[in-house]
Amino acid sequence: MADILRMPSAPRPILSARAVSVASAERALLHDVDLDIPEAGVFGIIGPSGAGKSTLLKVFNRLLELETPPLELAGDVRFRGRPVYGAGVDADALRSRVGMLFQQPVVFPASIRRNVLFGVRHVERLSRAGLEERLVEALEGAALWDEVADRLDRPAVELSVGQQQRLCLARTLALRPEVVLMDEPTSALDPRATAAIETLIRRLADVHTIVLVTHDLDQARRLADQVACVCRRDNVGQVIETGCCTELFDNPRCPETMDYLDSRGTDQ
Amino acid sequence: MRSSLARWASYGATGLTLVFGTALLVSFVAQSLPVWRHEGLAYVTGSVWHFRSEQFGVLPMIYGSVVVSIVALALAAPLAVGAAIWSAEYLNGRNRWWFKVPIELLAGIPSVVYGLLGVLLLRNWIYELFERFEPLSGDTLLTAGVLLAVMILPTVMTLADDALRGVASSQRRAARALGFTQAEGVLRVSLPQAAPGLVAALLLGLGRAMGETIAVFLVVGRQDSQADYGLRSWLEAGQTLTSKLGSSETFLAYGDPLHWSAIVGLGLVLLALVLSLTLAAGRWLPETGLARNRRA
Repeated sequence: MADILRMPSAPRPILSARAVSVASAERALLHDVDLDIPEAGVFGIIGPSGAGKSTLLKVFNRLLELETPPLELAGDVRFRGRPVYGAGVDADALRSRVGMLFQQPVVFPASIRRNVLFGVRHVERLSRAGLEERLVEALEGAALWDEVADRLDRPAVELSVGQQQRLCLARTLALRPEVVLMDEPTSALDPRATAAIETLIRRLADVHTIVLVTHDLDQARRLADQVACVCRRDNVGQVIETGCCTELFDNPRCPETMDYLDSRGTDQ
Repeated sequence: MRSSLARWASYGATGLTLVFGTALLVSFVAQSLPVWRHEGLAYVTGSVWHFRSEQFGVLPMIYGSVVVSIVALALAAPLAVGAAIWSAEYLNGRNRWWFKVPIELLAGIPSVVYGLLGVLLLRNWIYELFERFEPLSGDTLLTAGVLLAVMILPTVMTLADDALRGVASSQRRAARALGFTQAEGVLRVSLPQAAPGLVAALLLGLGRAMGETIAVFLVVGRQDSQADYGLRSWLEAGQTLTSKLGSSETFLAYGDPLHWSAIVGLGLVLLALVLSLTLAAGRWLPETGLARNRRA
């Protein structure tokens, strides 16, 4: 009933969380999160540091399970209506469909070519020509092809940090994921590289669902179609407010959101 | 001022090391000259060592050293690397502590204790296990190799564990985010990146196996001459360079210049073996993980 009231005519979300709580041995990190992420477009997650934005992101592709010390999760998470944490769900297969881009680029100590094809070689059986085709597709998708076409066999670590981040994106795109989770992907980049990634995110949003955690409110305004604000309430992270971008930024309803937007407005 | 003092101190220390190393080598060569003149190349190719008839062939000792080291490494390497993978990749902090500490303690047990355990238990087990091949006793090259495998296991395991834990966790996490299982992440990410460290661990283990004296001395059988170099010889008594050097013959030899030079020659051959191993490792190591990645 609550779902119907929330979105009477909205299409089924690609990702959803219901009553999701996450706790470590010491404390609760997220409490009672309800969230629907629509298919395609950019869904932004904003909020102060330590509120649980990155934790929430990892809930969606079960990277949360790899955290040490282990975290406990309660609630229901769904990808295309199917339980993410159900018995018999292949978490590794899920992760190839719900890709992730980390805050810092993590390139493998290998060539650019091997980096891009690292996951594909593992997940799919492609011919040599198929792999080459996928390589070009992924690098073009990450707007990196023109810069590296003549040095595909050079070590990936020779690339600049911005290029490395796009290489990581290409590696994720090579798997043709339906969703790409991005955890502050531009926080380690200079303004020029940030602009390149932002252009890319907007372009990718036509065919992929992008879930973007960011501290940069201007970036969220520029990129996100919808935004969720995660803040600490009663000393635990909660999704305080969700809405379309302009609505949430211009007319926040919750005091925590107002405080956060005010503080960031002062900071920036 | 301070930095230049430190620089000169380090130059001095390096120079002293080189001087001592060279002096050692020159002294070994000089003192072994009589046996080289007496035997020529037969010193390293001869199979008979009989000092009363002034026959000095060290091939049986070289063979013994190589065989026990290879057996030790072949047995210890898979176990040690497997245990290191288990420890570094699958165990969490506290469990890893309980797993590693007892193994590391094994590395601190004096080698003579291992030797006594070899005498008490291992040589009987080897004899019973291979009884159908009719070995003369349980004191064989194989027994020494198995004993050495047990001895080098903790060292190789600890160093391999360090090498694997040196791989950044972000690399593993990135692989998992691409859909790799934990085992696939180990095979495709951790092991290739830790390869230079793993090879170094194995080489250090091999070095220890080659240099070990007392434990080998107690179970190798100490037979100076060797008639057969086939697989069957592994179940016969043998001699290694170190067990020969550790024997009472070293003291006997001191009064006889030729005999003494033959004994010093053993040390020179051992030094040459270890040096070639180190040089080979130096040539081979750059071909492993890191350099390949640099090139790729």
